[in-house]
Amino acid sequence: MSGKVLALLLRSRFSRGYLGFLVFIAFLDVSSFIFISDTGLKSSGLTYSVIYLSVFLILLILITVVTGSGSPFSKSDQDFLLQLPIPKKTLIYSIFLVQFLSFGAIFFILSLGAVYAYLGNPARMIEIGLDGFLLGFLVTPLAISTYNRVPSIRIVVGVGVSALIIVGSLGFPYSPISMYHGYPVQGNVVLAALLLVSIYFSIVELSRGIEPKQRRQLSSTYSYSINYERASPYRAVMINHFSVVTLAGQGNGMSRSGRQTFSGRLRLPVAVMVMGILAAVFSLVYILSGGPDKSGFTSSSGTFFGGFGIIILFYLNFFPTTFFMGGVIPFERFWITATAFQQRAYYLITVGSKMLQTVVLEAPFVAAIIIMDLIGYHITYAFFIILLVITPLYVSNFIIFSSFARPVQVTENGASQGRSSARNFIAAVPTFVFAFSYFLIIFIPIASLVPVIIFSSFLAYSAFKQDFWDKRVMKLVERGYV
Amino acid sequence: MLTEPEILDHSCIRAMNITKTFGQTKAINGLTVDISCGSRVALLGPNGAGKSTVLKLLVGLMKPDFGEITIGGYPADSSMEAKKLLGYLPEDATPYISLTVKENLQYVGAIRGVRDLDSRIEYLVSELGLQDFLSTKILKVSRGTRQKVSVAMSIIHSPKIVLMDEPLNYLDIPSQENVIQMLSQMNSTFLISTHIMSIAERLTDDVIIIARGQEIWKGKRNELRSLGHSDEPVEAIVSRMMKNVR
Repeated sequence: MSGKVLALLLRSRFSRGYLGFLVFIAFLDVSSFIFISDTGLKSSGLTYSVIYLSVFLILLILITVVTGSGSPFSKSDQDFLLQLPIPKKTLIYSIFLVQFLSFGAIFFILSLGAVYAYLGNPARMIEIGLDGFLLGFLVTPLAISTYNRVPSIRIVVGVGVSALIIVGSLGFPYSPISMYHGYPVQGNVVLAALLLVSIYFSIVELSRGIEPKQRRQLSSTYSYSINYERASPYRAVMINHFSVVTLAGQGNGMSRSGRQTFSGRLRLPVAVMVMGILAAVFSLVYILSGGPDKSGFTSSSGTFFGGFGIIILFYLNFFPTTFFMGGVIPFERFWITATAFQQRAYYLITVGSKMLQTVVLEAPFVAAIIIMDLIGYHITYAFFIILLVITPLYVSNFIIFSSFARPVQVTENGASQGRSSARNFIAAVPTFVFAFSYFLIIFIPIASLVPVIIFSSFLAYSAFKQDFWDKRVMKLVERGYV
Repeated sequence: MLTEPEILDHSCIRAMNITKTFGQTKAINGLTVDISCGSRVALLGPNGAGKSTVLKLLVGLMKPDFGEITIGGYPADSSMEAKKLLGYLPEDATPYISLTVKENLQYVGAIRGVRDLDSRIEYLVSELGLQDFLSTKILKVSRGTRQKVSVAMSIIHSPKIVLMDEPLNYLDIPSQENVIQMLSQMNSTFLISTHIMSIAERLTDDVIIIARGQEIWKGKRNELRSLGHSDEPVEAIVSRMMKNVR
């Protein structure tokens, strides 16, 4: 194959902007990995780590296959390369392997670091999960308030809630996070109040019912607003993430019966309410079980701020993570794959009836959270990330979104105008945070047992089968490896 | 690769009793398609009838659960020869966005082994009115222009067998006319999936109508007209036939 074609071949998979983005992520990730290496739990067993990682990777591949309708090539019919007379083996070697390795390697390093440091410590993950619940709960009224068409109200609510969060970490007793700082009762009271605010906003939202025809118009507008191909990678990630929940809320990506069962306008607020209540229940259980001081948990303002770092870094890391997940997905189809995957996941979230499935579907995305949580746990590094790297990115993106955000309007003839990504941006936050929390609380502790079971079974099997190792060693000798 | 006389000995496209299931849904249910070389066939059907699935199966991007598919006598899903014979335009095709229009054509053309590629590109660009976009990245061109580039990419190697899924999607009327003219000049076997009757009338002579993954009618386009009243539009006839199987 000529150099020119080979160059085109590679360029058809990678854009310059994307490669730049990748380098940036790699820089962040490698920095965090170095940090982990310096301060992580070095007593962890390497074998265990490798087994854990293997299971995790297999799970990712399985999820990819399952969610891709049995095909690792999402939208394979739309990629011209796949219909060309090139043997699949050559194709895989020349392109997909490169893709797979470039993105997979980063994720692999991150996973290894996470497993290395977190091994055998599910309690800490549960703790972080609870933090996630709290965060999700805190941003719920903020998210719902973004449905308010009056910008000043949105700003007031947003600033108010943000201030409430921040003062809590400074020792103010009447903050939702006061429960972590020696004021469990006050913290719970504030949480309950915020829950009521959430419910109030939800009810207001519910009472604003719109006609089904208009809802369909809105759906098409939301679809239109997701123009990944023209967006920079980072911005596209944001658009993708923060629009999908609302898309699901509007009925996109759902079966006809699903739309009929769950009215588009109702779904998001109801889901938020359900999650808010769950958050409150979890928090209560947490407190009743002894709270942070008595249970041995080590929640602190560090983990709390780390939570922010986790959430935001997650979005940065989403890109390589998902690419690894679908390691052979052609670049330009990435967005579509991610959307399809997430629509399915968030459909499950929003209907709120198949939580476990949601957790499983979310696994690859949330895997990045675990890793970022690892960073967030270390206070100094979390502050570094938040202050020096993340905050400017977050703020600049928010400004970008806000700059073109106008409320969606349905005109008399049914045409829709305006885009609403900024509202989607905020509205989706709690759902994401809760999804991460489910994963941390439920999935990881369970999953951490899997390699133990497998490894134990393997050891038991080899112990009873006396010739187990003999046979294997003999084979190695026969093949000249030993 | 088959030479032309060899191809003429075969049905160019043959799918025998194929079935394809997605989960609980039977997308294609015992469908048989036999298209002789040189034919121009429209594949009609309502939304969800299985038209796109049929094309994907024929191109070899999917394997049928049951049944056999051959293209020019070669197995569709495993033969490089079959792929060489085929030109396939997927629905909503997207050329590579980080390449320019010209680079996309060079890329696919080079891998296809097109002789005198530059003059072939020149011809296609001229026919489709893409001259002004040659050095523009796909990322920056309109959806209609992308569609034109996709059409060009699918036929750049002058394929013996052309499968197209809604080829005129996104195109304005002059561009539609350009594409129809260009395809009409090709001496290939055509199977065009569409739900727009005017496309079928302009580009094809034969019609296969499917619904729920099964063939419900097959014949000449004028025979289709004769199934209705003299003043009945062909769309109405097709619509009635489709409704009958719902």
